Amino acid sequence: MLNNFLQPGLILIICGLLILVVPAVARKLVVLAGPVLTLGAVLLFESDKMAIMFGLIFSIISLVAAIYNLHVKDRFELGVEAVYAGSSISVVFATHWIGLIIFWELMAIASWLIVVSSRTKAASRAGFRYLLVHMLGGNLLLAGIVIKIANGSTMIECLTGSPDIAYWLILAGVAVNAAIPPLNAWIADAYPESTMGGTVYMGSFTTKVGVYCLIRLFAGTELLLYFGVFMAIWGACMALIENDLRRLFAYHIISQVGYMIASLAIGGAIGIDGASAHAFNHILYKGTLLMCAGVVIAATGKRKISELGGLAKKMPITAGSFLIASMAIAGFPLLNGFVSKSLIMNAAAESGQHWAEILLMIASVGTLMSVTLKVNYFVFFGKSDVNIDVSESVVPLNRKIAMILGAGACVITGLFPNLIYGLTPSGTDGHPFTIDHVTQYIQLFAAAIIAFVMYLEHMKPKEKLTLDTDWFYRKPFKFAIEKLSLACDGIRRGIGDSLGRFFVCANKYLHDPALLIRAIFNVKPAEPKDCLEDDDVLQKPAGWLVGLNFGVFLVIILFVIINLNSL
Amino acid sequence: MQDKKKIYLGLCLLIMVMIIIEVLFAHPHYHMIWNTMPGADIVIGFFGAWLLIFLAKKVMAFIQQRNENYYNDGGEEDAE
Repeated sequence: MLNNFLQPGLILIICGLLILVVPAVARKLVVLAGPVLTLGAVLLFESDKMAIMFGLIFSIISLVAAIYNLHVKDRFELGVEAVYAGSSISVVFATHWIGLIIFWELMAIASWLIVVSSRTKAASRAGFRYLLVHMLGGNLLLAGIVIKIANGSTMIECLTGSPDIAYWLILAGVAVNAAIPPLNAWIADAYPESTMGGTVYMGSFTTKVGVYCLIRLFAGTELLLYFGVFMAIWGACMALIENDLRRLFAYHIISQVGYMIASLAIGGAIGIDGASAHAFNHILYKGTLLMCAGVVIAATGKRKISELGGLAKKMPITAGSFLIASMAIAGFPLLNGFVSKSLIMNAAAESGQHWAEILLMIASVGTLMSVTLKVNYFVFFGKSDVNIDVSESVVPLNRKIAMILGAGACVITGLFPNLIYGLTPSGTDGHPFTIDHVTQYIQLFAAAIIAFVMYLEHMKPKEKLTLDTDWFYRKPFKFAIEKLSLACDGIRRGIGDSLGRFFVCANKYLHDPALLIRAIFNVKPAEPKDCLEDDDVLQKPAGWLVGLNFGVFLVIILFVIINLNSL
Repeated sequence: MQDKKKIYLGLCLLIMVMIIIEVLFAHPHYHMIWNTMPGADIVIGFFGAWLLIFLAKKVMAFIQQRNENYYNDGGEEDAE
């Protein structure tokens, strides 16, 4: 049990708390030392290969994100980011259900604080919705875990093939974090409202922790294959019509997580390795894409693609890093996305799920069009009517270094795929550089580029808001709650008014019970006399006491009548 | 327009080279028609792209897109 708490993630959590209190001089040191020490601890820690693989990539991206945020002065933001990263790593190394749920909830709270740390009204509202959704997910998970522990199962174990109540509750709880539709809307709602650095952290951890738990608990569950394939295509389609740069990447997270879920649902050694390797690579290229997007938004003050354009010459390092990462996410040969997608495609083909293989290939085409072509063309390299006065000199040096590190990692892991395959739980070799694999992807992408160029005029995003499943709790659910509140208020007021009238009336008759007799029998009131009994001070308490006695008497009589047979 | 023609020409050349390499040197590991037939990925790539563009731009945009102030909840500029 103690091992659940004494593990590498604890270092980052402690560093996060230290960041909140140490003076500004030492803060940068703690920000960098946290991920470095955690990385060392992960390498030395004894655990299974999958936990080490996820712990390793979480530590690496924590370090890159820490470099990206090194110039940030807000101690609150830096602190909660480190706590968030630490709690995510702690979930990975948890072996006991209690350890899992504690760090899971800590992760939810820390990520909510990251959202609200940008201190805008929109962030505050999005953060509130984010917290609601994640508390729901956390409570579902907690309920499942309580049932598991009550049944005597205290250690985390694979749940595939045992669909009891705990199974469904835990699956629903984890599905929230993995952004499985319809529980996906929080991702596009909250991520774009966070700080630039905060989005890099959030894009790397929450969903991937969800994927990790799905691998651990539900690998080989066929139901998840349908969700995974749907996510891969639907996320790419949403990204195709999205105008907000960071919302676009949020949908791409859903699309890429779809690949991972499809792979883990296929199961077996190759499916699990494919999901793990894709999560590892995804964190690298998605982190780089989010870093570049953050730099563009911070430098230009604009977040809509329709308001951006022609930035490649003005921001060459950002454009170059973005180009590499965007080619990696699509799966271009010699970049890391290709390495892990090869494993996933092999898993689909070997398992005989040919429909999934074809649809995942089409989803790759969607990724190519919505990120590699659309964003590169409309934001960086294409002809643009928008003239933005910006220079890369305004970008802090640490952010440039972080972007280059991220893009470099995509290239290195793409050129040397065994670096990734060696880390996977079963060490499956995807043989990515065979002629049929390479020619397949080049043909696929060349044909898709032709279609993109043919419809180029239609690809420019419109200045519109794209509704997601959050519509249900932002419109009809909100309307229902408002009406329910009004109804409750009306009932409360009605009961209050009726009781008020009753007491006024009762007071009148208890004050002078003779009034009741007179009212019933229509007797004229007697002439008033000046006597002591008319004094309110004496009559009111006495009247109420008599009324109370009468009430108790009635209750006793009723009780006796009802229980007459048994007495 | 001229640029588009150049792009089409370049991509068609690339595709042809890939098909030749595939016919001469590829040894598919799997035996479904899209694994064995040279150039099958071009069909999947082109029609897949067309299908996604149609789905996203015509169907999903029509159903899901609204004005930007639809939720009327502040927006990016209302810093506290």
